[in-house]
Amino acid sequence: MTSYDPIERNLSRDKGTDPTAPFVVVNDLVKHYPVPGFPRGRSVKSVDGVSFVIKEGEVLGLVGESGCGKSTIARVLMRLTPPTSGVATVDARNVFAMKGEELRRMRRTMQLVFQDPFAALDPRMTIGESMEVPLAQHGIGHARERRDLVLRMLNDVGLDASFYGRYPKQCSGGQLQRVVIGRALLLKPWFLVCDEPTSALDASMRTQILNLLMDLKRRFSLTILMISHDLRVMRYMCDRIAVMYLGQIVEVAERDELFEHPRHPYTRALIASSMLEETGLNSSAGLLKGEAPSPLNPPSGCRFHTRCIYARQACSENVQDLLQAGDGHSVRCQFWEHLDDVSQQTARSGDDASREPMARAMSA
Amino acid sequence: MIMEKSNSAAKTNPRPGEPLLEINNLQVSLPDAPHVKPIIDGINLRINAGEVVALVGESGSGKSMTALSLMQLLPTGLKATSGKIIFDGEDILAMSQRQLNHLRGGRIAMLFQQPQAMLDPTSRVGTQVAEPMRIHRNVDRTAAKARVLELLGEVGIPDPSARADCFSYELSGGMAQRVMIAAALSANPELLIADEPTTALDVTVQAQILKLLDDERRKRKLAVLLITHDLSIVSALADRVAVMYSGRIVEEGPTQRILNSPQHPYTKALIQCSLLKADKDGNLFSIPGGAAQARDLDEGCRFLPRCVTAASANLQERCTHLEPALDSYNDCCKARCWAVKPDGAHSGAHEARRP
Ligand SMILES: Nc1ncnc2c1ncn2[C@@H]1O[C@H](COP(=O)(O)OP(=O)(O)OP(=O)(O)O)[C@@H](O)[C@H]1O
Ligand SMILES: Nc1ncnc2c1ncn2[C@@H]1O[C@H](COP(=O)(O)OP(=O)(O)O)[C@@H](O)[C@H]1O
Ligand code: SF4
Ligand code: SF4
Ligand SMILES: [Mg+2]
Ligand SMILES: [Mg+2]
Repeated sequence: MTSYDPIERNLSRDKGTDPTAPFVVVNDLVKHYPVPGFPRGRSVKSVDGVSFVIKEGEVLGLVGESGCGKSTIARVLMRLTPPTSGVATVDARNVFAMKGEELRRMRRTMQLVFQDPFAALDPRMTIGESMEVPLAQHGIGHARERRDLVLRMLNDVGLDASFYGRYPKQCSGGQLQRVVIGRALLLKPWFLVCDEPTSALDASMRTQILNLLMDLKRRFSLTILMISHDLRVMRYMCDRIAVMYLGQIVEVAERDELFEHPRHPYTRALIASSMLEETGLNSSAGLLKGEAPSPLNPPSGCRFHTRCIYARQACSENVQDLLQAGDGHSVRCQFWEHLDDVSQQTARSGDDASREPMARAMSA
Repeated sequence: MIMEKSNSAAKTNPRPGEPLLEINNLQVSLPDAPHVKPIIDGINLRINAGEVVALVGESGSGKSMTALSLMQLLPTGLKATSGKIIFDGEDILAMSQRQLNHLRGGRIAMLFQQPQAMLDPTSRVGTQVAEPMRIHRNVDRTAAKARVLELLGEVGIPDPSARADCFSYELSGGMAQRVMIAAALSANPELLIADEPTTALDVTVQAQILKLLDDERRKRKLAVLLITHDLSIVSALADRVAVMYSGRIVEEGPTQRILNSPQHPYTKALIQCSLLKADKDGNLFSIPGGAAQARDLDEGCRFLPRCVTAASANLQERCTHLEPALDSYNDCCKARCWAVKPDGAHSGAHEARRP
């Protein structure tokens, strides 16, 4: 990028790896938290057999209701908490087996951006000091060089030099989120995990941060795992989207395929509920019943059967596997081909005729 | 008009379509920090009986402080320094503590973003839902008990008699917000103030709660002041919308009129942002700069540092020195902008906003 660059970007790339192999591979990941005070064996099944791959330079979205296990996946991948079982490789290296120097280098290649920028920064440190910490931890540059790197990164994320000496309380949420993203990128990671990066922001800040992330993704060729419950954010950012329910992936597809042909009943409810100005208040009514069950004791058979409007006897008896529903499209429902026969409900996919005036007028 | 109302002997509540609440030139400031500009600076807003009015605008624009003024619940340090808030003919800002207590939770109810934080963890759900009707409507214990079960059922809580005996921490976020709605409706209020009532909830739960609010307000002819920064919620729920920017209302009118043909540059930009639609280069529309810039201005339009219209409409000079007033531009909408001409006839230059 520029002449002065003490961080060697390629340091962690293993030239021997197959360039066509997926960059991130997660296989049968399980994370159970034991419940204190309960007999052994009783646990919260936060993540229960999750597998996915992310190609180099791809953005994979992970969406689902609160408590379904999205952040747990992020924390396990970042080695902030150990998995119960399962394998994850990044650039063909086993993430969970790394130790010592290899682990330290891995921490440079993978970075996490949290939801709450206020919590991610120490209120007693200036922005500049906070951003220099990871550089110092990895022994990069001298004080003077670190300062230059930070100032350059502030500029890259759209903040001027005055932010270097400011404290978090002197900045807005959106500005702090830029700082947090900039800090994560200082180590020139290959793989970025963003856990709800815009949920704490309002509409204008949200678009600024999303533009920034997309711009940086192109400039730094980042591979991204994007976690959000906002399907509109997903639709803009992601190449592929995985929908989670109670610790499992229930549907994965290319972005457009997912929005145009959602197959799983839960995905359909999610889409209808998030596009209120296009579909109105009534479209999502009746697409979901009951309350989210506890991950302590997930329902038998299809985990979604207590909330599914298409559920029948077989659903509570048979454990569901991910089935192929098209090219790169999988769905965890044995009846996915027959849902529309049973009910009048149709998937809503934002076709123009069904849109409310606002969306129509503004997209014209 | 207001005089007439308070003089009328019979205490008949306003009927649908008649003004229920009128905010006149409200100003909220920090009296101990005179150099800080007022946080709310001359707001006028009317809510008719049975009407849902949405207050939108970016973080920090003053939506919550407007809502809290209505109940005289501003945080310490902040004070309504001028203006009037007329509720059914009487000025809330001039009321005694007794009158206020009578109003809060009675004729005016409130709903907040974090339901769990608002419910009392030491008291049972049923007791909390019963409280407003017992205090404000003199309903006796047995009648209240029956009415609570009815209400809990109405807001979609399965098995109301079991849930009435629960504590709030035993409830999910969605259930807790339903309980809050039941408690808010308990004394049969005329005005509900809802500050980001679904922001903390999952999208699927959010859609259910919004539907419930919409059903209840229609059934009860309840007026609602709905605060949100999500325009899809506004579009789905509100009759009228007022757009706030830096402590002022910059545009106001019927929801579909405003969302379909916004006139103020900030409203246009806000709508563009909310849609998250990318242009051909893959960029999302975003408003340059931040709201903090408005606080540094001493004169002129507060939106100027971020406005693309001022330059293209050749208004830079006027916008820099003179602040526009909130003027009607057609029979039902108002905007605070020099570039907006009556009847929506724009000064021609607005087409030049970002591609
Ligand atoms: N206790 C306080 N003392 C001083 N200033 C305050 C105080 N509380 C709020 N403010 C300021 O008042 C302004 C309006 O705040 P308000 O909470 O009404 O914003 P809002 O529109 O509700 O924003 P959000 O969408 O983030 O909830 C902001 O500039 C805020 O910093
Ligand atoms: N440290 C922990 N100890 C016990 N349970 C946890 C812990 N962290 C998360 N959980 C539980 O795991 C489930 C998934 O949580 P999380 O991954 O944070 O969900 P999401 O990010 O999708 O909202 C939830 O039921 C949550 O309560
Ligand atoms: S398997 Fe049955 S319960 Fe599960 S999603 Fe399909 S229809 Fe619904
Ligand atoms: S008055 Fe001028 S600066 Fe303000 S919004 Fe209108 S054109 Fe822009
Ligand atoms: Mg989370
Ligand atoms: Mg607020």
